[in-house]
Amino acid sequence: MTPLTIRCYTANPVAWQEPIMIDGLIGYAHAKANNITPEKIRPLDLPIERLDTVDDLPVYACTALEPINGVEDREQFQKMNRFGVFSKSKRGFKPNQSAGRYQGRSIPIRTILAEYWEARLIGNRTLIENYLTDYITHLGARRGTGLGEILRFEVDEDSFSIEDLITRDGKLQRPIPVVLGYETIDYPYFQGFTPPYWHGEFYADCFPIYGEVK
Amino acid sequence: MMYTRQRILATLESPMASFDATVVSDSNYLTFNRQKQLVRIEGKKTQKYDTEKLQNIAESFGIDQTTSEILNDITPSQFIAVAITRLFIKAFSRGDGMGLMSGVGRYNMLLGRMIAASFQSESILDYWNALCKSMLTGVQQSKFDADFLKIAGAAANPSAVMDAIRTQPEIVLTIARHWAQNTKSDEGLFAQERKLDFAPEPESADGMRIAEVPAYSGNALRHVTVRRPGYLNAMNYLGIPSGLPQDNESGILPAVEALFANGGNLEKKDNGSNQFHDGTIIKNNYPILNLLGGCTNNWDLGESKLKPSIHLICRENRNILDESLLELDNASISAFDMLDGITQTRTAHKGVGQMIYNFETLAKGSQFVINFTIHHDVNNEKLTNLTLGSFYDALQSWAENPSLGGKASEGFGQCNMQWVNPAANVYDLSQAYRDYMTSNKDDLAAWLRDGTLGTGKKVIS
Repeated sequence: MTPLTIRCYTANPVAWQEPIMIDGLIGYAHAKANNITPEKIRPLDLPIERLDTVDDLPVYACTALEPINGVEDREQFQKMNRFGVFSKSKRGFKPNQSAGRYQGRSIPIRTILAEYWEARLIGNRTLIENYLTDYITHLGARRGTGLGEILRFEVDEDSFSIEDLITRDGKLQRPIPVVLGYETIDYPYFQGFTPPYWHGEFYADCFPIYGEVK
Repeated sequence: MMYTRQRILATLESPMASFDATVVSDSNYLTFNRQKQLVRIEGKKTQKYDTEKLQNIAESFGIDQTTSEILNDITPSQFIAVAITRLFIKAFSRGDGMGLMSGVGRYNMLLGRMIAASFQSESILDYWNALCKSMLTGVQQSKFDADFLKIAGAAANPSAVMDAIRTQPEIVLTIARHWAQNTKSDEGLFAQERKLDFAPEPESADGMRIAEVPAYSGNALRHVTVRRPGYLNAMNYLGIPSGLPQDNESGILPAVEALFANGGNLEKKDNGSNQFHDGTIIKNNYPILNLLGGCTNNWDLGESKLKPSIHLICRENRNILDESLLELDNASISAFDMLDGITQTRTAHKGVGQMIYNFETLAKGSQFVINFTIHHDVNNEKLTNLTLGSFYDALQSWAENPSLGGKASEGFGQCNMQWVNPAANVYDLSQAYRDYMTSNKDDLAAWLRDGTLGTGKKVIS
């Protein structure tokens, strides 16, 4: 396992709702490579050093992808509502296109445009490089509309300790389960700390990323 | 690689319109959609300013006390940026103003156009030309000519002036506006007794700057090239008749149609216990939904396999274009030089006559590179091939009469498309998809009518 800095260059803005954990991306690729489908989710054994284990779930030694020289912006998407050509009639049914389910929508999307995105981890360089290159083509949300298109990844060996991946300038660099300490001035959140981050059964009380350590 | 990438080069054969939905404007001028983009700027060697010339500009314009104090804290290049902006405001923001320099939103309009013009220009002369053109102001009155030439002659570091406008446009505009408004009746207030003392000019460095570059959205591209033709083709293969809703007794449920037409909307969020299992069945049954995603009544079908992107081939996008594309002539032209303005009229209500409105277009000959990335279904070659088939089937339909952007019915956005890397088996894949749809049309159409989508239970209604 080697300390690695990963830089990700994108061609356009990234739809950004919450920090993008690098082990989440590597976990996505690992699941694809090993045919782990959402129906049979299990804790993932990734080629990343473990900080610790909580309830048999790994806490990986890595940070989130941070936008470097980033600027916030907004995209406005139109959800067009042009149908009714092939629909079955219903007595008295007239889709309300001004409100509710059939309303056309103008959807604002919060985005970040950055020179590049950077994360750090301790892991197996070859495997991680292959995972990122073969499976990860886009970053963030709204990938189906082309946002977050990745131009390339750069993976470089670095020199930092495992402690550097937990805190930097007194702030947590990843969500840390409460049982592991690192109490922050912010209240704990009930959230994911291991990939897949969206899977509710893997949630625990965690001190949040970028929280200031007491 | 666990994905297929299809690249297309599209060249406009008629002007293209795509209006910016984020710009709420009360003017009758619709701007082309823009997206923030990082642009690499090369640093240039700093030249020494002749402070006498700068002082001369300040004295001839006249400066009030507040402005003079602010000007003492800025660099000579920033001063030139402020002075040229102040001159533009004085020359064109008079009474009702001129061109786009009118109405309550004129300074926001000016701000955006200043940044755009700074990316187009390497000298003050270029900048003035680009700004007047993009603000539709025409030429200034002759009484402003001498001031303009004075500023242009004093600008020893034009690239640093452009950089000041690009990086601090709000500050430049604010000082310039204050200066313009506070010398209206006080010309010559700042006299020879006060000398400007500028901050030192920093060395110009290479670096990335942010520009709002004309762009077509991936969301719109997906709808025009894949979703709409894919939806119409699917209904055609399944033999579902089109017609007005009240006449169409054999049609499908409105919510099902919405799923194909725009992805649909959730009625209420409820992650059913079998959503992944049911979602896989639905995507296996209707490969176009595997490509594009969508949602049932209560849950999302999951990640769509298609990721489209589109980039204008222009100077501002050079750092994101492949080397092969950099050889194209368009790659060395500024995106802002590709913009054109169109004026149209439409009949207003009775007695009012015709209404004139203007909009921005991308000129004929502009080129886009389009990338479609389609992720494969791991260990499911059959679904992967059918999904690719549904993609190529839709794309071939679009390619019969390809157009991009709005106002297609008026002939805008017609383009010539060139397959850059056609997959060897495009026609086999799309034929296999058509064969699958037509040979299973009875079941597939029935499931669209009963809302089960083949899961055995009603998932959409």
